[in-house]
Amino acid sequence: MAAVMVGHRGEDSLPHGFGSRPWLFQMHGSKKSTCTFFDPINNSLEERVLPEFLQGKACLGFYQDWLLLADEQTRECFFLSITSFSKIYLPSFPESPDFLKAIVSITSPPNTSNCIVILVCSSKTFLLVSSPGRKMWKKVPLKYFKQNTGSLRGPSIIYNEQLFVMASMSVTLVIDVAPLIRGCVKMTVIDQLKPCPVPYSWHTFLVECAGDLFSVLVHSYGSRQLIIHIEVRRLELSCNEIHWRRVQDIGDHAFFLAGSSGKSLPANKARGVQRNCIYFPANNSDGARLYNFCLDDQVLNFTFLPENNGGLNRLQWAFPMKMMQTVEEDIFNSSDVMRSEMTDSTVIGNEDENEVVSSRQWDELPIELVELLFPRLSLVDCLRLSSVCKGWSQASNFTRKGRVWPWLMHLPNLKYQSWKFFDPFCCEEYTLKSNAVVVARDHLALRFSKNGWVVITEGNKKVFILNPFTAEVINLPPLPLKDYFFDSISFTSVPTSPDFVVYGFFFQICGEFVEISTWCPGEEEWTVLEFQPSIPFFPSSNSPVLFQGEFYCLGRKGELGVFNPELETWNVLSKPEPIYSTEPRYGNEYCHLLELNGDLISVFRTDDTKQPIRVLKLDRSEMKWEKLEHLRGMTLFVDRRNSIAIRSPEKKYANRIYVPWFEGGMDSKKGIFYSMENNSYHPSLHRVEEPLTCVWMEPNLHLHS
Amino acid sequence: MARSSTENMITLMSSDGEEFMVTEKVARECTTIRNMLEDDCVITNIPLPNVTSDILSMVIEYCMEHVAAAEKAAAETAEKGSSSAPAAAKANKDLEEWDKAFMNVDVYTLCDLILAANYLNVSGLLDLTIQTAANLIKGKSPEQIRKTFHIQNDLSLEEEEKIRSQTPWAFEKSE
Repeated sequence: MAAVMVGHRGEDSLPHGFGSRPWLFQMHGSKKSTCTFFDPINNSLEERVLPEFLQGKACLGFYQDWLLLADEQTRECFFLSITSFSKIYLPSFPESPDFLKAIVSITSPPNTSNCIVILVCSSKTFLLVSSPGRKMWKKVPLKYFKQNTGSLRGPSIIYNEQLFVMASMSVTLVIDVAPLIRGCVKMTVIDQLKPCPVPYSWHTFLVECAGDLFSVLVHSYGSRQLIIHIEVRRLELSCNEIHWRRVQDIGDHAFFLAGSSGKSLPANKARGVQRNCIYFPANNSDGARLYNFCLDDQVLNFTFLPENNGGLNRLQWAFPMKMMQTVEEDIFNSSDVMRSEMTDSTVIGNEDENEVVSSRQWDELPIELVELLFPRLSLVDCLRLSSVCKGWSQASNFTRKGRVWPWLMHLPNLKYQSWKFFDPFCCEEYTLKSNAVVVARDHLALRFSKNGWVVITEGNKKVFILNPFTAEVINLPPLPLKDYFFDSISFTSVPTSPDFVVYGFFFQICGEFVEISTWCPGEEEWTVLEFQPSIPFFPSSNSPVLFQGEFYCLGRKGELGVFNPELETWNVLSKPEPIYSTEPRYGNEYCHLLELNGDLISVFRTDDTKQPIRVLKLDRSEMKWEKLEHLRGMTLFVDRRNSIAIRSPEKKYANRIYVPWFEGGMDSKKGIFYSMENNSYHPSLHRVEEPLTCVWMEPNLHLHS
Repeated sequence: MARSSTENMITLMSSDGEEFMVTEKVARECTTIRNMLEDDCVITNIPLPNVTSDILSMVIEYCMEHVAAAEKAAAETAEKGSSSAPAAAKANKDLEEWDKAFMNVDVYTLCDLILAANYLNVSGLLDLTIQTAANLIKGKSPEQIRKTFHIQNDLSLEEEEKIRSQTPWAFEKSE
């Protein structure tokens, strides 16, 4: 393909390595006379000048060796072979709709007799259909939209001679392709209940892989920028009905998504491509990112793509045929070799075996002196210490004496039936085999944690509280929801204490309606309090903070709402005044509220990693937010919903805000934090990994506590 | 370090019979000795049967350094009326550096120092040595800890398995 782009200059000016792995390819249409090649694996970018006859053309799609190109001005449309350079014309596009925003499906190569090209035009209720040799594009209305509201917005793909169009998150239109050219629509509708209603935006991709059709749903919080959930579904036929069924795995394949189209590739076809992963680029306020979602770990990775002035419009994944055809070569043996055995280089101390041992032995150290070690060690070090020798195993209570701090609890692929915990200070990850009943549930969200107990919701109704280390579970009655969404939850003391009460907060989306539900052990259902406050309140996703007997909720503008559980009152405070005059775009920012040394502080973290995190302290005499420059000896941990403040166990961890990210590596991960000293993220944002279902929690190994 | 001749000198005797003459102020850094002196103010010769000469000399070195640092800080405060914060911070840092260098010992010596610090009740030294040992343990597997401290694993397979099975996740990396 690139041979075309570089014209007569030959293969020398192809980007190095093109053809050996997937590249992102972008033609800028009338904006630029070049095309851009991104090499996501090596994170590089190269520009090539287009031959004159291709300048001003936009690439609408690929089919095998053929590019479908269109001139932005003249609306001329043609196929171009990247091997023979021959052109096959299609009719020019009609004036409306905007063909540049359309999604193109092609049935077969344009030099075959049954080639049909179908354009799904965004926000329209018809398709445009044509084929080489025809004089016009045929407008084919879809009756479905007359009976139902809405319009086409999703992606489309041709699979088994049928056109699949996602009309919404739950509706897929399946249209026979052959009759379309005559203007006939033979359509089936797959209307599936939403598996889990999420109050956020979503984006779908369709991918064919190894003879199956898959849809990939990417849910975002607010705008499309903060991705919170990704799921893959496979088309299945059962009882003569086709439907989407969620799958946990795509096996040895990788998906490559861009724009609205998706492609798949066996991962072993290209160096650097990981199996069971989904790659897709997306624009973010801090630059263009390439995401890689690993289905195994349920961890979302991102790297920044090199700067490119043209933005990410009409990006296509380019898989040259050469690559698709190559048999597996030995190109990646090298990466296997890299997993060489770890050598133990960390042992300090005198290794000289011949040394005369005149003095006392460590295993004879009195147990009360061994016990002095525990408060200086992490919980895991203490557990390991207790299995060193008989003497040391006699130490008592070490799990209570060992130091704990928040670990990032996250949920890998359900097939593992386990939880993972990432310790940001020790940079270690622990895998806890779990009670299958709990983990095998789907659509789990980790909402809140306190003293080792984690509030988990399943779908939109079920809720339970779990201590993952003791496997104690407290099942709560179904949430008393109507047609709005559950926002945040909190509880007083620990579940085993007599004054344990759970509080659920529900805010109507326009902020005009607040419902607060309470539950105590033994009760069969939630007690619901309804409020219609005079001032609308737009909550952040952070859990409310129990502060001096009242629950404080932070709004996205920086305002405070207070629930008094004694008096059963809800108030939006007139002071502190909001820090934003207008409501910030939903999902632009994570806002956290927490208690720090007897003060309320708020943390505003935008999705733009180049912007500083704002930390404000509530001056309670003036009721004003004041900028906080330093956290003193404290360390904060924030995720989307939960936030925890601790006294730093070591000086070096102080004044940091840990985010739910880690820096990936072959054998080790490092916790990523924001330093208040120099207002930037550390150690780096070169390769960020973010588990999508996660919460910070302090491990607690004690039953009934 | 010049000392006034009026200062009381105490003789400490190690388990192997070596004698160390130290000022009373240095000896008092050891709470165990301070208690003896307070019980019996005329005592000048103290046998320490639990501490060998090489370890005792190190404990004394530690105490002398810390007494000197405290005296220097006190002198500065007296001179200027109040101690300047940056100077105090620097002095603290110097002492920390000294401690760090002092802890550059093998694990056997470290073990003896812990026992001596505990026996003589030198809280600063006990803190320092325990922290040093903790630093050697951090992030290590049980086997790596045994190797570091030259400890024989005297647990039977069953006993070890029983301990590990309570929190198997903590031992995954250690194999």
